Amino acid sequence: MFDFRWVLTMALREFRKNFSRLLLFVASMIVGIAALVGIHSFGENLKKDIENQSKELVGADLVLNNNKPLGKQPTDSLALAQSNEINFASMVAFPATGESRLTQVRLLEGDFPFYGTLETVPVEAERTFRQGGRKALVEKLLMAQFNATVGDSIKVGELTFVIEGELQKVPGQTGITATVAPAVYIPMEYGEATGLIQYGSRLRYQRYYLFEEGYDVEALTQTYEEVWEEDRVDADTVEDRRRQTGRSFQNLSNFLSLVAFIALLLGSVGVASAVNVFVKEKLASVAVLRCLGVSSATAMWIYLVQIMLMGLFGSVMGALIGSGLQVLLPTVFADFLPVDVSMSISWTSIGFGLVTGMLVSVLFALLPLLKIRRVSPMATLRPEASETGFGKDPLRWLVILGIFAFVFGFSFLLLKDWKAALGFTGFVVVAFLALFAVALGMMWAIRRFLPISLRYTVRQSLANLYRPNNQTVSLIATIGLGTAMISTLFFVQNQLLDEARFADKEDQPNMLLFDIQNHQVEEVAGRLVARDLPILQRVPIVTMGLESINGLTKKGNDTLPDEDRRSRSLYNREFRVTYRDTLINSERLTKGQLRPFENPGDTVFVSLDESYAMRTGIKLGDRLVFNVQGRPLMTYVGSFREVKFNQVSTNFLVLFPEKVLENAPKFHVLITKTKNDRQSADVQSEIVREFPNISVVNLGAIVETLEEILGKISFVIQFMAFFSILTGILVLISSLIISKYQRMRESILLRTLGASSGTVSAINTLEYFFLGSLASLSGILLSFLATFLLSNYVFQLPFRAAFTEAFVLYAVITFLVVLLGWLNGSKIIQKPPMEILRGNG
Amino acid sequence: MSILSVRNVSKTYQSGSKPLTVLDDINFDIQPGERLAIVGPSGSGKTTLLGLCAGLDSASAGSVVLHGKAMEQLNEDQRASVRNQSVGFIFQNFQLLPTLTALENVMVPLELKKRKDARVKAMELLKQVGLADRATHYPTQLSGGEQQRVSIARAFANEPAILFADEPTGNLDTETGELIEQLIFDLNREKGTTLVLVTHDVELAQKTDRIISIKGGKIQEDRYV
Repeated sequence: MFDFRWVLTMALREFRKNFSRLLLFVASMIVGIAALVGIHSFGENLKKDIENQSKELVGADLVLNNNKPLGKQPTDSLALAQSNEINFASMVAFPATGESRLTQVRLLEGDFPFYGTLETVPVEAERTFRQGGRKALVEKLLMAQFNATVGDSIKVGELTFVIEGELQKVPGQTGITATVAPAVYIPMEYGEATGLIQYGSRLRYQRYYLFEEGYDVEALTQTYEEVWEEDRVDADTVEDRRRQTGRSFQNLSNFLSLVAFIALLLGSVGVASAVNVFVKEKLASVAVLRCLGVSSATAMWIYLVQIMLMGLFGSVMGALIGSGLQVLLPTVFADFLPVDVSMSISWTSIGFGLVTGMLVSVLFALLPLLKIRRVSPMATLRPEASETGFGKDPLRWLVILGIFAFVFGFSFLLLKDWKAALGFTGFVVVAFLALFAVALGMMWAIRRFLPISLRYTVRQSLANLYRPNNQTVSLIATIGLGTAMISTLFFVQNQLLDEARFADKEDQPNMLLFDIQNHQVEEVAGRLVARDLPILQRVPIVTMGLESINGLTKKGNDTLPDEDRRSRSLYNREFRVTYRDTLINSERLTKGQLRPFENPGDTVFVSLDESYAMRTGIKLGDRLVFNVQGRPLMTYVGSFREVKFNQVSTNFLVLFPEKVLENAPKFHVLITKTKNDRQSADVQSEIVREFPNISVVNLGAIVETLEEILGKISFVIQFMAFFSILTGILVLISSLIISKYQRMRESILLRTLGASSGTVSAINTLEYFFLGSLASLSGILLSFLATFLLSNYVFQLPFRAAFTEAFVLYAVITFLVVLLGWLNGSKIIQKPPMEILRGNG
Repeated sequence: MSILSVRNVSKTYQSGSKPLTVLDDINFDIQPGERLAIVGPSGSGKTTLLGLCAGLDSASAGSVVLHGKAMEQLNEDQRASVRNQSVGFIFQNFQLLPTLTALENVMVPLELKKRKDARVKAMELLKQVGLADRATHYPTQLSGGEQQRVSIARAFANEPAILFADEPTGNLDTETGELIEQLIFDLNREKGTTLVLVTHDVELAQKTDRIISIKGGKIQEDRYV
């Protein structure tokens, strides 16, 4: 009969001797648990902080916004206070240096924010800025970029302002927002005088309200929902923002948890592999226990309980480290966080980590542990009888099924979508199979193709990779996946930046001037020509809204059932369209054809961006009625285009034929190519000085921003990949220690046979060199494949193998493995063989 | 009634594509308290026979009845229970559990029998084999002779009806081997246990009551000393 007390007693007795070894097994798991608990705790705290600071996220109780003046609103008289803002993208210049940059200009009137503050240096600037005068608050990033200091001047449009303070933080803004569009606040009263508020300016009008404490803003917005919908006014409440922000960060936290989970799974492979070695060593003891009358299930439980105890220990350690890790995470994610994140112990996360850790350790350890059930007591008399027919054990398949179910269950818990969870499980299975296949394939290739005439040290070190109880494949898998994650990221990032940088080479445009008014276009073009610059594209832009699709207006659409209703954003969008009868370089016709407009009364056929049409469900032949400055214009969808958005060019969702919009109010974009950065700076400086309303973007600025954003994103991903690499290193260390005694025996034998310590050392070093090479090459091979797929199908760039970078990665990882192996092996080699034989080693 | 009855027992292994018969039609009975030695050259099948008699393995044909239980009718876990209740083992290479102390090794069979006095009884047995002062030592801290003495104490712990010993002195020097032989026979006499001994050592075999010689998987001779 099963006696759990005795099992526990035996497990604890065994545990005394096995503790340090078992600790090594779970070490690789600790990192994954720590990452999981750290990220989960961070997510929980973030959720709590978003709840607590939701008012500071908006800075007001309610925000209305529209792309035309808001005028008088029914809510005006109900609020305790209101504040108005007009924001738009525009160039600003620093007269001291003559340099300029595209920024987000914010004209402010009133006391926004009502919750939280505009954090400035000096602190009082936030107050003095509102006291009148031509003063500006400028984002710190912008100040740093142009070496500006408080008291310097900044030119916005036609007017020059004194920089009153450096903006540190604006409610609801993140570091990433500031990188893409750094803000410059100026008082609303100077808006008109800047000359920037004119046709074509992409103005956003916002009104912030403060209500009495406890006022039901949600009910208020529901009352006026229809009126606002009609006027295309967007109402944003604290609750809305809390929900949106909460959801985005929940998604982010879940995504990162899945990445951490991959690190945990990698660690689990390490656990399974180490327990496998452990079990092989324990088979003799199991046979003795079986001889003494212990049943097969009881024998397995003795070892399973040890693993469970260790799993618990590892999970607790991981949870503790993970809880501490929270201190680091706000720094890692600093640029993405809209709120201040507090740190506190999240018991939910700790519980989550403990349960996950226990499940993972038991499931993965069970695979090798099942062998114990098959040990024959006859093995006490004949050791060869301990070889068990394990592959046929049906329980093994049950455990494998359990592992899949666990991975699926875990991902479902985070993703809340069974299809996505199934996708993730599939991805994990494929990734692991791919790594194992690559690892096994490489090992097979070495065995098959390396010539027998190689030097003894080389042959011996290669043979060591196949020694009994080797962990070569699991090491290749763990270190390989870490390498693959880091190198894929590295390669893709480089490829994107290179593509942007090298765009210059192919006679592609590298400067874009926009917001050019009708009367300015000839003069600006003249300035470019005078500098011997080509006008590569002259693009007229007309703004319009969508009135109806196949006769269905916004109102009609709203009455449809959910499944038939089109997105409201389709009707609310302000379309910026152009007209021409030809395609440009960045476009390709995918369906239908461009049909020119010949005579008045003819049908107007427009061309849509294919992916936009797919997203919004618009089909070829659909009737679209646009509202162009109050006049309806009936068109039909005549073709779809595939638009590449990765070039310095103007790309449009809707393209009209010529002769339709020529007389509509419009503004222009000019595209040119400068010869070098110096010329770019000169042109930009001249245009901004002479035509302050015109914005200029050059490729250099795009690359710079791209670099900065990619840098920030990749830091986060590298941070996550670091867990996988660390797990790989821990699996390596544990496998080195596990195989230490075997290495000692081999070393003694070799040295007894007359091998010098130099030869033994060379064999060991070469073995680690091969191991490191196999692991890193497997990872790099996979990352090439991933980069190829990403380049082709996501970024649509030609794949370019980054051999130099790959070599650097290969060298670093291989060196690391050799170093660790050497540190572990050097002591063994230094000891005299007799000392080890006597057991003093 | 015999304590062990072996009837028409054969054991065949698959060696590649050919069947290999290791034991062929073995028959004998052992009475309670009898001391029997199975002798024979290497590869004769004596260890296989010991394994079958002790219920460590199952025969390909024939019947082994141990302490009234027909082994071929039991599954492995049921045979384990018989071993715990009625059988003691002494092995050539001692087979102590390396992670347990000497005392704990002796306690295991008693604990499996749920004996409350496991510790006291195990300590008594260690005293009997002269190792009371080494009770808390681990196997690696003991000499070969000491390890075998712990193994003997463990074998007698569950007061087995029958004790199987596989070359118990095979890994020991002559002097230590003789001490161990003495200890086995003394305890066997004292506890009234049946003893089945597998050995190469003719001198040791001569100290038992009966010798079965085995060669090529068949009994060559079954004689009383």
